[in-house]
Amino acid sequence: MTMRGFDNQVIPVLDKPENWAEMTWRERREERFKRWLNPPEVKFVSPAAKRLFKERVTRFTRAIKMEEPDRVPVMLPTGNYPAYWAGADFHTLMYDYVTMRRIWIKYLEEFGDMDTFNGPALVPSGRIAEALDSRLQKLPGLGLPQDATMNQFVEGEYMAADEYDRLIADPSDYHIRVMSPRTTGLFESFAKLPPLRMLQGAFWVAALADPDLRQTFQILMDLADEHRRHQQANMEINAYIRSRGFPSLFGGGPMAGAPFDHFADTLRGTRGIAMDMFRQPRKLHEAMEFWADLMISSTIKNFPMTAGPVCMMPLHKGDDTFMSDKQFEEFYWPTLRKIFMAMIEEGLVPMPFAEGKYNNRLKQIADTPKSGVVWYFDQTDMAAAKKILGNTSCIVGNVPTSVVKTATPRQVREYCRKLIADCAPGGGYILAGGASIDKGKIENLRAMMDAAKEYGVYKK
Amino acid sequence: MPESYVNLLADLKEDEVLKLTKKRIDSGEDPMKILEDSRKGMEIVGKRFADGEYFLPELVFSGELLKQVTAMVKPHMSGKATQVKKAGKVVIGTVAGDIHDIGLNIVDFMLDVNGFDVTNLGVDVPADKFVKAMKDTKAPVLGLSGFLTPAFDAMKETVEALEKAGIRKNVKIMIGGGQMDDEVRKYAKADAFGKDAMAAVSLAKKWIGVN
Repeated sequence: MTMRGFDNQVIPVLDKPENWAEMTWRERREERFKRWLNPPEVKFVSPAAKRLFKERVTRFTRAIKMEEPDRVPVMLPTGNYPAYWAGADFHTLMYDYVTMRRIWIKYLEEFGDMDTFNGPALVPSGRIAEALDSRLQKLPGLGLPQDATMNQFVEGEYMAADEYDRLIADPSDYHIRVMSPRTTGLFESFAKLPPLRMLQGAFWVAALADPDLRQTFQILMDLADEHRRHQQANMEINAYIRSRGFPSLFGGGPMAGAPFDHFADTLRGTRGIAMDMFRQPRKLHEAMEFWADLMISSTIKNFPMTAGPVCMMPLHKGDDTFMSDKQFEEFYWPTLRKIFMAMIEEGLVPMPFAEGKYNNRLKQIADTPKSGVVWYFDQTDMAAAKKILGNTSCIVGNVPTSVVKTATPRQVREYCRKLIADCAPGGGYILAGGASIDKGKIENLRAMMDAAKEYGVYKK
Repeated sequence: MPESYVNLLADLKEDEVLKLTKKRIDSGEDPMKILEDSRKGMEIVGKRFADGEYFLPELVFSGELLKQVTAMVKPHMSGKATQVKKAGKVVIGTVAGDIHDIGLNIVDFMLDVNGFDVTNLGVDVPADKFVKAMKDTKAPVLGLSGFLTPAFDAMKETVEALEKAGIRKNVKIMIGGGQMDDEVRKYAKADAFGKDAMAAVSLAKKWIGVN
């Protein structure tokens, strides 16, 4: 059996131990860590690469468990930086997979030591994106200027205020027949599909007799080869990276987010969700509980033994400026915590990325089992985070992008030194950027690695 | 009644506000007075937001209430001039290549309830459009919004475009949003970085000379 990881890699799934059901969550996590440490799919190029891979994974797992590793591990804010470093851009990567592969390999060979590295995970295939015609996301050359350096999401009230019941009654039917036609040009024809429960036997053929539906499916079939090329390029890049001893932090955990964000980001939008918080709070709660339970039963529970247990979870609208502490406690935290707890129970490692500032939230989010959740902060005060979450969670962060992009290497080192002094004592800390950079000096990324090696070594 | 109306609006009591609006219109009250009370209510909303009592959901919802009240009152207005005293002109917009508008709209709201005449250019605004707006409005203050790291360069380019057009010295520029901070302010050569919408208001007040 195989499955698709976060970095688009097809990963073999291993069997779980026979006594899995009797294991505690920590024992289950330990099994998943072992799988991460000993990846059967990776063909290491040398014993040294294998040794480095194990050293690096161990550095992360010890930090996650809030123990002291050999030194502070680093997640560089590399993002799509290699493309610009090589004189190419996001748009080029969307179409030219050969160049993409060449650049990533060249960057890996030239950069030197890193604790983790990935292929360009968030660059979609240009031809597929064109054909899908999504209204939710704009891309360089597709809604954004061709030289734009990242994708951007477009909010809207795609779901109407009175559609919660319909979504809860049949979420698949709602998403395919109602939402997809609204959000995605290629799927406009899906509005003509019969209710999904009717799609059995000859009904499939009858549905495809409609010329619009037929055309949609024809286009999807024609795109399959393009998808295979894109996936192949990504797999080759990631296989190359792993074989040289660089692990992925996100190679295989389920992608998930906060149920509040699910409704606030793409379904109802900021305006719509604000209306619902005042006009129909109980309906919103009901929908979020429903969504959390659905995520847990369909995705998280019995999650297979994949390449790594870390689940990257970008969080958006729970930050200090979006809502009050009271609203966070009422609307955001309960269902998010429920998802964290379900992941922890499976031996998975939820790693929420708290976009914006979480200074006011630190006390509220400390309500999880020790070392269960890894908190990745964008602009939160890290010294305060260490003080309040220091006995609960490994924390990750947060050299500001402005520093990585505009400061001198010396200033970057100094910034890292302070962060390490504040956050590293006792373990449970990963040095990282607040968000990824696109352009800028490679020396500044190297300065982050150097700082961890100089200031982040734990004395035995 | 006006005082409780102002408070009901400030407390975001939708049903009561709408009922009372209808009652006041039906009783033949001057529509301008109802609008003036709404403005006072929104001023309190702005103050509560600045004090950290209200957050984004309250701002958005209060805007929705105001929209409904205005729609109810409008048909009863007899074309009288709606002269409102304005503290000064401010132009705002999200820089080229960035399509985020949530923070931009909060700044718009807060400047507006604090009496400024705001020209909101929207998102993904090219540098020359900012230059044109500054020339057309003769506004002394420009607010540049951006959420993403690519906005660093777009802000820098916008400031340079104003320089090239020869109007940089007449304009005070503040930046804010997402990944912005004082480092970016230096990089873009703007005059100030504001960490939130209240900072935008106090900067505009300071520069224009309003107390």
